[in-house]
Amino acid sequence: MSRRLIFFTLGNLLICLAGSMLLPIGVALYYHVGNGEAQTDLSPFVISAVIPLIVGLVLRFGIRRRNEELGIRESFAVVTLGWITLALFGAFPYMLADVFEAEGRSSWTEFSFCYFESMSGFSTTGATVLTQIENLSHAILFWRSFSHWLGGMGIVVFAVAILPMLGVGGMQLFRAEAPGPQTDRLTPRITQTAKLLWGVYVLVSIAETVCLMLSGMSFFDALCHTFGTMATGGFSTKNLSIAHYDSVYIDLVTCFFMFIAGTNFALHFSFFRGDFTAYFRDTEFRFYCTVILISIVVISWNTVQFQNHEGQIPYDSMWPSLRHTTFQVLSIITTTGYGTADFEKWPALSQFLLVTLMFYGGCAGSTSGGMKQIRFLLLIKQSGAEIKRLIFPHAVLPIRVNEKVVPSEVMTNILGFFFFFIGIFAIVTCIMATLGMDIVSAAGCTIATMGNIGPGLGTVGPTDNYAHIHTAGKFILSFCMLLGRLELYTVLILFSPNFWRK
Amino acid sequence: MKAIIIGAGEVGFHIAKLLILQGNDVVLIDESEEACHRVDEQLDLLSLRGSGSSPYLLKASGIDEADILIAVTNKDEINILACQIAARYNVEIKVARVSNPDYFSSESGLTPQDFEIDLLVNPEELCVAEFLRLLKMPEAREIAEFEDGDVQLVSFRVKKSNPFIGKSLEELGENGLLTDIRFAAISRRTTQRISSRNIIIPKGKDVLQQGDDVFVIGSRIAVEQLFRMSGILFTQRLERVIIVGGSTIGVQLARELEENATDVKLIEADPIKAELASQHLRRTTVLHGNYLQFRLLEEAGVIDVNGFVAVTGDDENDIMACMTAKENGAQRALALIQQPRYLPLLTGIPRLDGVVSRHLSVVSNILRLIRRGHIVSVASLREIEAEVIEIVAGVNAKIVHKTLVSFKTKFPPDAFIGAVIRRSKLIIPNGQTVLQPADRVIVFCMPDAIPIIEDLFAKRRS
Repeated sequence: MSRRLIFFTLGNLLICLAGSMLLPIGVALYYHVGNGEAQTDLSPFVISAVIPLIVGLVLRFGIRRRNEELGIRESFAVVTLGWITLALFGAFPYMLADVFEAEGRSSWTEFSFCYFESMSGFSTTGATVLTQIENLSHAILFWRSFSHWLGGMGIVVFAVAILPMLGVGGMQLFRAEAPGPQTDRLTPRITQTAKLLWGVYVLVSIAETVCLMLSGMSFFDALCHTFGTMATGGFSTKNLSIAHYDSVYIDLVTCFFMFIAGTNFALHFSFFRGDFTAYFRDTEFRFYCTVILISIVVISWNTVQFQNHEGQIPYDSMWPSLRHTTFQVLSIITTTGYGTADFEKWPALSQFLLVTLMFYGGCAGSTSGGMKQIRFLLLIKQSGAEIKRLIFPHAVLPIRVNEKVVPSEVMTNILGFFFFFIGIFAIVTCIMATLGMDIVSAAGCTIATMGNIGPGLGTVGPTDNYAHIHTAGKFILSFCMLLGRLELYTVLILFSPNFWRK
Repeated sequence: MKAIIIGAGEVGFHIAKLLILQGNDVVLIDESEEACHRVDEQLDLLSLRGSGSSPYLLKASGIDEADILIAVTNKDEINILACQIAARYNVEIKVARVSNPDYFSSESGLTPQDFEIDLLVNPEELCVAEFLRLLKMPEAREIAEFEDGDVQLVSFRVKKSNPFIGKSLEELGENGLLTDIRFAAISRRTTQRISSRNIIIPKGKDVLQQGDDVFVIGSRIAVEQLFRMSGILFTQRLERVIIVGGSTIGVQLARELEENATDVKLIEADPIKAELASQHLRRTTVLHGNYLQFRLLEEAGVIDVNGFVAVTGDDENDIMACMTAKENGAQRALALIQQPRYLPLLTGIPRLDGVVSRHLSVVSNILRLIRRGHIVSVASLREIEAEVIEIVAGVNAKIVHKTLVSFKTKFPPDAFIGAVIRRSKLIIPNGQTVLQPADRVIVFCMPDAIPIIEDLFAKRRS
């Protein structure tokens, strides 16, 4: 365990973050100087860029690095601490621009708002503590969405792509941040793999921005919504989210790109390389499509035929139901969290199905959160095998995915993951209930943050926000977002005393 | 450059590590899940599980864009087949490890080229050659030869009787001793832990101490002179040699020694193997029995035997046999080491005069070929993690036409130029030396400095 190496690498990460601040500075310049927009102030962003730059440079050049490589342990520490500090420095613009300033609010409470918003951005959760979005300055809106985009593919993966010094350490860092039980390697070099993934990410993002602009959306809004979609985040520039536009075309474009963002990016890479059938040869992708299709069919049938708890039938005909169901299902399963309808007004079956989808999440190797399709697929296969084992006690029952046998260590890893996820979900729900939330809202906000979704149920439903939650609750939920984004183990390992022993 | 390595054993692992350090892309194929897992954890490469001769898997590994294929599994047939498949995809350099001498013996009528193999590596043959070299230079712990043996890198241990102890290199130079020779490195014991050694790149003020392992580069004649001045035997005529272990290496070594030594004895524990060995050997006396017993060693005449070589294939037994032999009067004991992990520990065993590592012999041999064009040859040192490369300065290379002093900042700190050969004349360089194109330069360096050195020596357009 080399602390100096951890801080050295953290320094590099911070320099990357400072560099990424240049974009919102550019936006602020454009609107402040170019368009004379009064409320856009440049100074918060300049200060927020300079502070991590200085800290980063001090760590980078102040620490004398011995000739050592990042090991597995150091990488876990770097990624977790890295994300915590990124969210911290990412909160500076909100803090300095006084986004959450209100009468009678102490600066500590204000900080909790800022940190929550920042972590929600980086972890691509999209849960907001803002009540009014549209009167914020362009630069702040841009920063919210841009933090999604950085966190989506992962800023550590980004650092691995552009910093050649990491080597084997880069591979460990990549594994600690990338979602899914097993990491796909596209090329022999991990920096190359990271570059390709970011390349695909950028390409698809450009495509979506263009598609959205074709509908007449402004470049700024199109860009921000692209960031929110591709990172499966969910921050919008409008109070009503995507519903603001009420356009079938925009719904469709967003649906399509949410679906793309929830798919394994290694498959997109194969597609770009000319292997067009790669998608359909992938077991997880087929399972993902099946889950989506079944959910859409059941929910659209349910919302047309059945009454909700208030005795109303949400939709009177199939088409509007299908449109809104498709959007909501894709938004939830990919853990994006954009909304075009209030699913709390839907019948109980539909609501429960959506909550189940919150646990599912998208594919491994995508930008989405949740437990990931592949884990559920493997758990289902394992459960089936257990039944078979009772009938044929001597049977050898390998679990296969993509024609390959999954090693038993991966299986036990997934079982552990499932237990941790459910266990933490239960504990945090208890804590949130203690802080004064009702049981539905407590469970809803927990899964919505752990799964990096955004909108939950009850008082944190699709039309509400997280502003009313207790200050302590905000920090706990921020931590849940971190747990969800880094897939539990990377964070939890830091709590093991063995980890810190030499 | 992209390389495909088949076989993630010690050899494959080590080559992959060095290739990656030098900035190449590596794909490694192995049949064992465990081996793949190990390389995944430790190296920045793509590992694939499966047979190295499967065309499907080779295709998946991207063989169509590979420049090198190195097949080093322990199955000859897989290695040969992999090279043939690679030839179909126009892989430039194909290396196969083949242990069975039958394939390409003169009687078989086959050549490696028939199978599209560019470099055939036979670990056993390499080990035998290295043992012979070590036996002929009785005090050398490690030998690497350049320019057909005219220039040598030799390491020897400074013993109690050495007249140079306490003298600084400057003083030695004043005596006119250091013409045509250069001290490349000193490996010095630091603490009580036997495996912990300091590598010193010596300067004029450094003083030799007892127990140092000294690496010198120089002409053969100069090395011989240095040895003579310091009271070390340079070469010897082998009189009597005992070999322990009757497997391939043992038998081949015995066969080679039959021509050089007057009396060769081979001890093998297994009677059937001993019987077999005796059929292959003419002048060698084959004994069978437990080689760790003093009685048997005495019977073989271990007292004042010139060379004792343990090649049983069992590292621990080899080391023990060497120690027993040394204890009972053998002049020189050498062992074959299979486990690379043991290598750094062995310098601490005073009774072991030298070791040959099967995997490092193979690695050195392969790297010699695949180093890009202008690197002529290479040796990985066993006792310290350093390499010696012979590199040709290219036309207009960054390093030519300037004094070496002016390169002080750009030259990697853990590397230095040991010798320059200009038109078959040896020059020991100093700061004022100016390199010229086509000079052959022997550089002593740590592995990660190689890419920088390659860059400095690469030819450029003016």
